Amino acid sequence: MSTSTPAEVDPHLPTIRGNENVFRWDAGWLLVLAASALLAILVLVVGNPFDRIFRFVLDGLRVTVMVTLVTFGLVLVVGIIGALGRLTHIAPLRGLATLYVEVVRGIPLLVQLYFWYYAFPSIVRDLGTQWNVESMKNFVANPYVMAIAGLTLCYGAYMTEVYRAGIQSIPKGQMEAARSLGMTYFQAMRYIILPQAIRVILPPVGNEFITLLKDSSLVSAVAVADLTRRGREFQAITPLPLHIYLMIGLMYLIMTLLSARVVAMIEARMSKER
Amino acid sequence: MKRFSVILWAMLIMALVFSACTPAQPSEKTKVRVATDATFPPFEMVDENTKQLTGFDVELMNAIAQKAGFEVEWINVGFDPMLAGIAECQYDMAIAAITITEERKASMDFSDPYINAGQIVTVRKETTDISGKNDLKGKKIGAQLGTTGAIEAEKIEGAEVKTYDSYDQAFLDLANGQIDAVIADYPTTLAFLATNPDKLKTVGEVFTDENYGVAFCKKKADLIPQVNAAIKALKEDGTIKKLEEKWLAGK
Repeated sequence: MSTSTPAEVDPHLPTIRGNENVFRWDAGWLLVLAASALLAILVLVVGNPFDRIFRFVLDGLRVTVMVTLVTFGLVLVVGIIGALGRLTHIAPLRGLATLYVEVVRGIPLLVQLYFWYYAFPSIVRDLGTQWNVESMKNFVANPYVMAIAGLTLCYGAYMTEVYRAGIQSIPKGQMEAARSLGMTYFQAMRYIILPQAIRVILPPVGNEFITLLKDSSLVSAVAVADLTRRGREFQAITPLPLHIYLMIGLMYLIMTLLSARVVAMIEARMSKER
Repeated sequence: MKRFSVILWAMLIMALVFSACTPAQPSEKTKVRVATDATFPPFEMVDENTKQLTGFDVELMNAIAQKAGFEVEWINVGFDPMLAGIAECQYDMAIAAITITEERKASMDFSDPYINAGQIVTVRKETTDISGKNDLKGKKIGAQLGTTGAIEAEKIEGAEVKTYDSYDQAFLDLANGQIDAVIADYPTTLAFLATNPDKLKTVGEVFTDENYGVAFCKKKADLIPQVNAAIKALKEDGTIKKLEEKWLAGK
């Protein structure tokens, strides 16, 4: 992704491609394996009540993965828009982007989720009554849409800062050189600055993904039947806190360990394309 | 970078699609959004095998919907957010062992009571000298700390009141002969007796006035007469009695 076509890579540069496998065995993979093995032993060998809990929370796992992936996709977009806003010379846009980051970063995610699910729809309904718009008067929030919106706006602010730091880490001369070659600002961003910035921001972006995956458990507070919520429901019918939270914690752990490994693999691949 | 921008566009389109899908399509049978907190067995919980909502309140609401001729769309959410959502009209109704109180009436409307959640006396099966609240003078009474049950027990002349952190500890002490009676919420008592049918029984009538009701968003007050009529009919045809026997066990 660093260059638009492979042909542009300087053939005289020493390459390590082929000498080194991107997929390397290391302690991280061993952890993934160990955690997965533990899960398998609990479910298949120890069985009751772990297999019952596992079956019960499985569709919650699907919801958690879905919410995380969709949110992360949106966060990548919001982040880049936010970062360009933070770095622009147009003062009102820059102010707006700064305001967004500062406000959102200062409010706990749980409070934000409550706002999007409970307060926001009531604002829409009140406005609907005022303006006499029928569809707004009866506006009802879909918990999934609102949860994803809340998570996206919150993590978009953090991602904005990650992108901004990445873009600013590229020396000013790069932009100046690109502009003096006759590129527009956006062309320079797209072909010169961002490809280099991506390598810099990849580790923090991976970190954001993992944090998002864990924080997605907060959506259980706004009527989304995710992994955490399913666990709560099982505890209500069969009070087994130790077994339930061991199982759910392990499932989150496997997902985060796995994502960390995938990020490491992408990083390894990127560093080779240099 | 081409690939990257394709991904960006895909994300943008996805965002638009997501923001466009607002629900609320009118169907022939009116859909009523009913909130609950499915972590309170035996009133509402999620069935382990079918993963459907089940319990006393859930079956009752489905029966009410059938009588009143609307369709229920369940929303399973925590208890506090549920009450907030009813006040904000995020939901049309809520059923989750909600006690009707004056405070709550300020932000929501209630149906007629569907089950009396007042206090009742529980004793050991072999006990014969206690047949209600009035026989408790001078007896050892157990109750959960801070509950209405404890307050009622304190009111009884000459009684020695022991308080516990939870109901089941009080019931356990009663079963073991340490105390003579327990005063606790009627539905909670029935639920406990349902799972421990051997040693204990309730005596007398429910003697305080606390009731569970269906909560309504204030804007949906037009639903109340329909629901009240349905509750009345279900009381008369014995459906509610049957549900009590099924989920809360008989006396």
